[in-house]
Amino acid sequence: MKHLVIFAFLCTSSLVAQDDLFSLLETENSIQEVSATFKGTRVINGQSVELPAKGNLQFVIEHRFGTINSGPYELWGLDQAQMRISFDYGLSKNTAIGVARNSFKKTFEASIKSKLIKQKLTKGSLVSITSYNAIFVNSINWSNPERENLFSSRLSYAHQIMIARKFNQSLSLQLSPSYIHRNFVELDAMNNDYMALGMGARYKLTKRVSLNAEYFYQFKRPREEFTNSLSLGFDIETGGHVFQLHVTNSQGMFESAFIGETTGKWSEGDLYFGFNISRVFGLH
Amino acid sequence: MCPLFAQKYMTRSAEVYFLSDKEAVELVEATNDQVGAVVDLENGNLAFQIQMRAFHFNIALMEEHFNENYVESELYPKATFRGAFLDLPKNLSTEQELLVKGTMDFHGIQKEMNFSVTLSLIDDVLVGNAEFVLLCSDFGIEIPKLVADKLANAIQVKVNARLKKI
Repeated sequence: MKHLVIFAFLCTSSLVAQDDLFSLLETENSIQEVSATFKGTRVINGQSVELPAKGNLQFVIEHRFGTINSGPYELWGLDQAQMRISFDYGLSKNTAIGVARNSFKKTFEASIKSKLIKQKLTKGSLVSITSYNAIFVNSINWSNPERENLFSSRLSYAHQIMIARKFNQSLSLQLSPSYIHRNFVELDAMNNDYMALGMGARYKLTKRVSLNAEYFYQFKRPREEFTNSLSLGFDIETGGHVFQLHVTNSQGMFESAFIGETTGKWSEGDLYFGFNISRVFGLH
Repeated sequence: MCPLFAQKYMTRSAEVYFLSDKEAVELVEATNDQVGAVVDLENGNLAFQIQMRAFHFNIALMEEHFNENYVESELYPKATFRGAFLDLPKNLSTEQELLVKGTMDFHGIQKEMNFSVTLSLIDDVLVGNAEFVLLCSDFGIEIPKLVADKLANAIQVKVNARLKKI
């Protein structure tokens, strides 16, 4: 009798044969990393948590035109531009290196960027964390060539940690504690070291267009004429390219310039229209 | 019809490979080798479950676009197929060609599908292969006009599975 009951019980369970088949397949999903917290390796001026994939060479060309409030004679800034050209290469899944040239103070730069932690889809880390370290060498002629000038005076450094979370398909937010060191400052009132906190956001408007915003708050801003960098823009993705179009009060496109040497004021319309265009080449 | 005598076969490492139309400029191909599959030979039912994020491409950017812009794998993390053989499989010691009818649930859209499967049962391993074509447009996967001349709407899908008795 007992056996019969068990037998009957087992038989009824086969009525739900199809769902039963699926229940056999149900397992914990393998832990997966979120993808594309940001479209580009930069939010606007500042670095995002993303880096080029392993074996990919990313070429980025950036422009910041003159100030929009310079009027029609300068075609609202379009007659002149600062530019930056960079190459970044994904050495491994978690490390990329880059070199760049900026026309702002004729600056060369070299950088290393490392993914430390990746946000997971199900359980695991809630945030992605990436570090960024860069060295900048300005190559402008010495302003006082007659005195003794040291090469080390040309150097500045940026160290940043980017902490980002992709909240859903559309919204990603990032905090970037940043430390900048300049070996040489032109004015006594400026500091050699300063700290800033970057804040970045991306909101996807469509599958291929997002609205981005970025702000760098400087602790102990050295002088009043220097301002905090605030930028707003769009990312537009077209297959192999990402176009970033934005308006910013910073004309420099590298960390020690836009974090420490931004002078534009949004309130007075000292704004620069600019773009970043990135293209990825697979070098397998 | 009692599960005591059920003949269920299962795997978690079936392989699904897809390839966009070779005529298209941009060849899109990817493989997923972590597909779950169950076949019940007694009643002819079968089920497949595919994690979209487990499709791997040779080009990293293509994989990102696939997940972010086309299949939207965060919204629709898996695709499933549930169906049944039209005739109960018999004499599987030699390879048989059988018709399968069922529902594909992919990108949030369910669609009835029929395709043929070759099936054999050798040393308690059930080996199945299938090939069919999916249309992106049937499953609400939009190809933007800008790249419409580069990407194919028709996707060739191949499935290879080796299932073990459970």
